[in-house]
Amino acid sequence: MRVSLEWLREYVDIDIAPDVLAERLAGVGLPAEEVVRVGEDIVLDLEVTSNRPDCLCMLGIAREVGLLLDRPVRFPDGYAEHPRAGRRAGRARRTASARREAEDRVRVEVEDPAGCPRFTAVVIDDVRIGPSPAWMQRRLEAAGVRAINTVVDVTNYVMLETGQPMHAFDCDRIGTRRLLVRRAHPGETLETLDGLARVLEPEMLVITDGTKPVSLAGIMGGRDTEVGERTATVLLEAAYWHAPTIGRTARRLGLRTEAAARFERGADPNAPPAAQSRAARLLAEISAGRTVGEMIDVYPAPVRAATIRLRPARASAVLGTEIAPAEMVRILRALGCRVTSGRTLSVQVPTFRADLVAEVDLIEELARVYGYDRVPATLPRGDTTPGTMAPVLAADRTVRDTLVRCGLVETLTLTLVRSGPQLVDGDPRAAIANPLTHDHDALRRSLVPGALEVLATNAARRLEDAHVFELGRIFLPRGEGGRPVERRSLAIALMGRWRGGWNVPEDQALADLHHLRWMLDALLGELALPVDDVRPLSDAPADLAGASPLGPARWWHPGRSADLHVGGRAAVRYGELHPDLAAASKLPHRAYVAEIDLEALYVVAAGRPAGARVSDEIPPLPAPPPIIAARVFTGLPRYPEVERDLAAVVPDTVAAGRVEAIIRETAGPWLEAAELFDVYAGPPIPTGHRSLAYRLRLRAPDRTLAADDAEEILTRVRIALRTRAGAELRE
Amino acid sequence: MKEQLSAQDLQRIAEIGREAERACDEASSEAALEEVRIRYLGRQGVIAQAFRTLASAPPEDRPRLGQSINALKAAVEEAVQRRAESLAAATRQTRLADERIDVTLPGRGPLSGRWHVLSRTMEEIAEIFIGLGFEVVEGPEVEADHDNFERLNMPPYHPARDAQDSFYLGGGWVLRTHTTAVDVHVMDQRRPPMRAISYGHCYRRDPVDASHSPMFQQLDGFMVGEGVRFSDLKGVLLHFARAFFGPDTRTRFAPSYFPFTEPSAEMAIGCVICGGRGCAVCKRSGWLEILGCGMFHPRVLEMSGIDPERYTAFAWGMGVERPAMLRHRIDDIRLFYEGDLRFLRQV
Repeated sequence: MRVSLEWLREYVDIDIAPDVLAERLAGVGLPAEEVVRVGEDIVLDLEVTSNRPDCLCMLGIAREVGLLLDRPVRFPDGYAEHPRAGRRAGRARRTASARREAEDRVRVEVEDPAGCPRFTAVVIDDVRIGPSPAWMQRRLEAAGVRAINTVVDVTNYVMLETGQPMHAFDCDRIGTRRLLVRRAHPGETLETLDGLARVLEPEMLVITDGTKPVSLAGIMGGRDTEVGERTATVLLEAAYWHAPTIGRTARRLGLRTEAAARFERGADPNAPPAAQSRAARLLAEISAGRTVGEMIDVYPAPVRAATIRLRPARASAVLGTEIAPAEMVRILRALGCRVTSGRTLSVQVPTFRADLVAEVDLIEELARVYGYDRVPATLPRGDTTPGTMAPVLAADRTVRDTLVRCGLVETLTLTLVRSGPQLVDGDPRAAIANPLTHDHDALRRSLVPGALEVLATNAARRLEDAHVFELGRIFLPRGEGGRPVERRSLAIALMGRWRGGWNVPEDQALADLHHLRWMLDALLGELALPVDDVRPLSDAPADLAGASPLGPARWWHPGRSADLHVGGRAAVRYGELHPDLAAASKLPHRAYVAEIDLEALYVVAAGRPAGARVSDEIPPLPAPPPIIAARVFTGLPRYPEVERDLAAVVPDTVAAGRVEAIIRETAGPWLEAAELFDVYAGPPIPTGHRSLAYRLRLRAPDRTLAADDAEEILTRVRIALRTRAGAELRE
Repeated sequence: MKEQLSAQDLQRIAEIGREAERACDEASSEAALEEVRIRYLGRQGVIAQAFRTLASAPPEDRPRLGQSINALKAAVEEAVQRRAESLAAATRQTRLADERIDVTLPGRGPLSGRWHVLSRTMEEIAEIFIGLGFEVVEGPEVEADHDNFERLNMPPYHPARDAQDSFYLGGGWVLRTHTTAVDVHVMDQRRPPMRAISYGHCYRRDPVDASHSPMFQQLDGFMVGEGVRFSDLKGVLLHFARAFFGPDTRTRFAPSYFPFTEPSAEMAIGCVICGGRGCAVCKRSGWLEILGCGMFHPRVLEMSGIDPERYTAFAWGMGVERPAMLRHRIDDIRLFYEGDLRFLRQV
């Protein structure tokens, strides 16, 4: 709301500097977005919240200023101050002949009083269309409204002054001499003043001439009955419309006018007569027209001012500060309320404050005017509650900490993605019905594409070493209109050197598959989750489309990728990014990518049944145990260990995991660790074979192992490796 | 004659001592010193021979002569030992000198990881409120329109929905426009007194620019109890502002409007950039709006089955990007979501 100080001073005396005024207004909830000088004048551009349509006019702002400065507000000529419901009766008794004179010109009927509780019309004769006087044009422009002609300018001026939107019809172009307010018929059209043909829907309110629409109620007039240069008689409309209907219509048609903005927020049902009389006075003043007869007023069920009970003690209790009841009464009266004192105050609120409906609304008004800054800052009293963190969020923290220790940088990418084909193309994604752009018209169903985009973005900026992770949600679509399933997920993407510095050989610095696996082991170790199985993707059956929260196998290099099974399910898919994808993303190095079904890992770690969820739960009280259980100290070893090395030459088709599994199965309980320390292929190892060397650490909990004990275990292991893996043992 | 002989012998022993000490001092390596040691202290060495001459000495001279030779032996041993130590020290010194490296060379090691600045900021703010007895929870990002709006007193086509233009998925599902929706879920499952905060992704249909992103992070909190006052809201948020922005932070509360709070307020802090003198960031006002807050509207409590006469509640909601941008002097919201490592490693 652009407020000209020159104009405002017509209604209230202001003797403080403009910036001080702006400060004071901000204190009552009307902050100025800017204060600008326009010629001699100063204009405050006030932000008005949507609950305060009464402040979308000069008189409303004047009322707030009067309240702040404790000054009376002067109402303009012709403006009857808020005629209350009771005064209408008197008006109705006025000369019947005068009213008939207007009604001879035009008849008004309202078919839908719920949509149009009040409709007033005044006929103006001897209309002179031309430019309005300079002072009026200047004020309109200061308010940001373009001057058009005498009649239109007066309607706009009155709207800006009083908050009541008005519309002027060229009376002679309403051939039927009749206005009928009703809902639109399906498929009906109306060409609005902006020249667009609007297709109307049955909920929309229209003013018709009895057959066809001539105006879109409360929003914009029709082209056919527009006031123009040859207009001789004008019908001025000022009405009160059902706010939600106007709001919906304006949105449906994408037509947000000054009138609609006021009506949808809630106008004053008792303002139309005051606005009509003010308009008539202005038209007469600028010699642009003469009122014919009485105002037509269709108002079958007058809106009564609501009365609210206010307990001063409650107000003080809610606010946490004592405001004297007398001060409360002063504030409420200055706001336009009628107050009856007592132990509880009976407050009749003015009809221009449709936002005041309950006691708490009045408490806000008291606080607002009393001053929020005068309310002390206290700390809560009474029963306290323990501060806690939901287990799932505590687990997230551990995961982030672990990955950061592994050298990964956390990223956040937009969950909004393209639904159409992408470089890395996952299963169907949940679509957004009203996207802003095609790039953001669906919800991601994997974190991997986003992670790859981060690698590509950095590579394009010549940052070739990128080691990142993202922890977030993926959205698995569930049919048309179904709520997508939100799942906690985690992606890791590595590219380039993970060690910085001089003279580090490339092969020791570049990330590789094993580096990625080390991070995954660190993560699973932190979650205390053992890996049941490592299944190379080359062995995996074709993807079951849409069934898995993990990305399709085609994203990975078929010979350099695997699933880690945890708690009986494939919960981690990792490996080298498929070289085709790396090339398409213009990545300068091989990239390594893991996708982790974090939801599943948490469910397993928390000991929940498969298919359970841990995300989005409001934890029950008392608090459930943490997802990541505390580690248990098993004591330091009391007897020395025996170390033995073992090198098995196996065909290339035998996986290291298989060899290690055989060692673990056969070595027995005294095996503390079996650590692979050398992998070798080349002479004298036969081609198609490689040597895997393990260091076995053996220890008994209750005695020192003898050489014989160790030898017995080694023999068992050697035999098993020979018979089950076809291994030759090197000494 | 006897005396003379004896004196001669003693003189000879003293001479051997002087020679041995000189030989030790002259030994320039551990090997040379070893030769000296063998020459004097070896089994066939000079001192061993001297002991053997004792037998031919007159009996009355033997004790004195024996004492002298023993003293000689001790002196030579000490000289050898002393020289050995000094040679070893010199050797060590040499080795250490040889091992010298250029300590001004830069360090070398794995690149270090880092939390995203927004995750870190949210955790940090959460910690402040945990200390005030709040529980930290989370909720879904896809909400029923009913929970995101109607339960917060915003029926369809409510004008306040304009400020929260939202993304719809069809079927009445909406990407949450604020984490205030989580408050509703908490209130449905708890009885007062309760204090909770939640944070995470929120979505609004804002075109992307330096200060708008269609996805952003919000942090919301609320407290329900008997006798919860507007002044408590001020006190709790003042504590937060000082804990996060520093102990000298000033706050200002001004009336605002949210359909789900009454009274509603906006909290501003004294500009952290210019200290309140006025700058481009605070648009010359000296104040920065940080969050919206207020007392929960009685209807919001009623919809969760909480008696608004008995219980009152305050609530607030804030974007997380803004405090992070102010603290780290970040001037473009898009940086948070682009993944540029130069940015992510800096903040």
